[in-house]
Amino acid sequence: MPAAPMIDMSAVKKFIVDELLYGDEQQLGPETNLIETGVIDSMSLLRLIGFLEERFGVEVPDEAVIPDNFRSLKAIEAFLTQ
Amino acid sequence: MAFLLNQLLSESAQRVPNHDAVIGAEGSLTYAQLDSISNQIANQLRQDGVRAGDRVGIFLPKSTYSVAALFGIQKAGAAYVPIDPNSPSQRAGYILRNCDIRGLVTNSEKLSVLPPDFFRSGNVRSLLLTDAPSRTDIPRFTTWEQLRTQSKENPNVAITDNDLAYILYTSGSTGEPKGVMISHLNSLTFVNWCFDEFRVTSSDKVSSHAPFHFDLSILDLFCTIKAGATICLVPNEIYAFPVKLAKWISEQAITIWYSVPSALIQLVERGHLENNDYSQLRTVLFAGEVFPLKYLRKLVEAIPHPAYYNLYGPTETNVCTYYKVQPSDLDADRSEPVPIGKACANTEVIAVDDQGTPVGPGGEGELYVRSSTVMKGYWARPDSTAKVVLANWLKKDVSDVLYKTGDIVRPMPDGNYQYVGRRDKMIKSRGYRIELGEIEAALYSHPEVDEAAAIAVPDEKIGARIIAYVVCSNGLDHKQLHAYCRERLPGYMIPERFELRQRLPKTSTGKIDKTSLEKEEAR
Repeated sequence: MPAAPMIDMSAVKKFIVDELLYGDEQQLGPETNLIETGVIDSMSLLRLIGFLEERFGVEVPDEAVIPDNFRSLKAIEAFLTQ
Repeated sequence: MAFLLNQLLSESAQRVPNHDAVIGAEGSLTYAQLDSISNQIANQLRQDGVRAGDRVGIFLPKSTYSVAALFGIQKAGAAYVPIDPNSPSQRAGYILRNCDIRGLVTNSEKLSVLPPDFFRSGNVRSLLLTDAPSRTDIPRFTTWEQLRTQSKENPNVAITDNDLAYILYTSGSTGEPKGVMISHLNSLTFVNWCFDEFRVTSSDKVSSHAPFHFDLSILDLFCTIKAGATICLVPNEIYAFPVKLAKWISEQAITIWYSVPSALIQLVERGHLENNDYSQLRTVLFAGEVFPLKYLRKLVEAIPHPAYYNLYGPTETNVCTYYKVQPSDLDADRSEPVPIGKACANTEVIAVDDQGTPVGPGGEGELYVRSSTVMKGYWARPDSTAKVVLANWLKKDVSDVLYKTGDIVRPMPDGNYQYVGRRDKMIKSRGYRIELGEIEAALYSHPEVDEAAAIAVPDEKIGARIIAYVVCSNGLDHKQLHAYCRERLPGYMIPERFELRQRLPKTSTGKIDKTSLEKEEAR
């Protein structure tokens, strides 16, 4: 995956808050477990990946769609800036 | 001969005590261990005052704990009531109160989700926690650790196969979930059939993909335990990650897989199945929704050697027909989904027209089921039960019932049935039954919602996507509506999009014109 120079994580958080979690902004910290809390399921994950690809011009190959890369906002950031 | 589901465990524990009964992310339990911990759970429940015929809830992530819990509850003579672990507070509270649970098995995190007044208003006598509690307003409880001091003897509570084994809640059109009551006989009739049909043996490793509140789980749990085989719980963390799930199936050497088609579609589309070895996999079962032929074809191309079966049946009857996929079904010039097949053992299915007359090949009719698998009814809803469990008008001389499925089918000349569609507004998304009326009722319960219509947009990968059209009197936005629904509906029922309108189109009789909204979505 080509390295994305600048990742605006506030946009990712906004997408999750607005489109997947809707509104519970206070509850969403950088290390909140998105999988355990049910925010990420098979449907919402596809929407999130679609958003990341479009917004940041990155490509997320199937092999990279693993819990370690999507467990939390922090994990997503680490994945996008690797 | 076992006439209760929990006796299947006791018998297998005698036969293969050291064999793994269940493997989960937190470890595994042998048959001897599962048998003795479930006895301890049963003894604790009884000591706390749970009696034969009571209901006991399970509000836990899927784990070896929840497997032990459901057998323990049955050994106490009670019926288990599994609650979706991701269920919002109000829905979980509604279900637990609706069936008047007398006991609950949960953990500290799920406990904190329950409504604050839950323990004040209910009749809960027994509370079992898999860890230490986080809240202080709860009554007496027992932790898993404390269960160790309980007797490991089976209390052998005297009940019959006519007593309830579990209650599974499904979507209800009036806005409240309905509890499908299943007796031991209902369930064993199905379990015995699939045990024979799929020749399950103690060397099998059976996936458990479906959540325990979903009736696909019954095969994974009880058919496996009957065989002395191993239940392999899909780790909660990898459900949404096809590459991981594909690898897990291979690493666990799963021999029998059972899930909704949408899970298999994800695997074949994004799982990179070609990277793994599936030589152990011998049988693939799917049910719950139509499997679009093009994806089934791809799956069989990727993993050609297992036998593939389409299983059909509503929660109210469990599986009542089955069909083994034939190579010719997948011919490139075909597009019609595979049939739902023929009746299972000890089951009769009939397609009837609107006058109640059976229709033959070439005709089309609603499917009725006659079997020992037909449910005991909906909990505390005799009115709803009476609409679907009907006196069998084709056999007037004996007491007999037919279950009205609401599914339209076409009998075929070879004796198989082809699924055509629904009679009513019920839809399926990822195999889950959804009454659009339940979503609309949730929206209407908001004081500022004037009009609401939930519509289903067909989607070949997940069955249907749900869009809500809403008229609000007071500047509600889509985020607020979504948050409101999250408190009331399970995730699979929450509309993907909320369209706010000044008014909704009406039919000549003044009803909301959902057909025109559906056309709008299709454009």
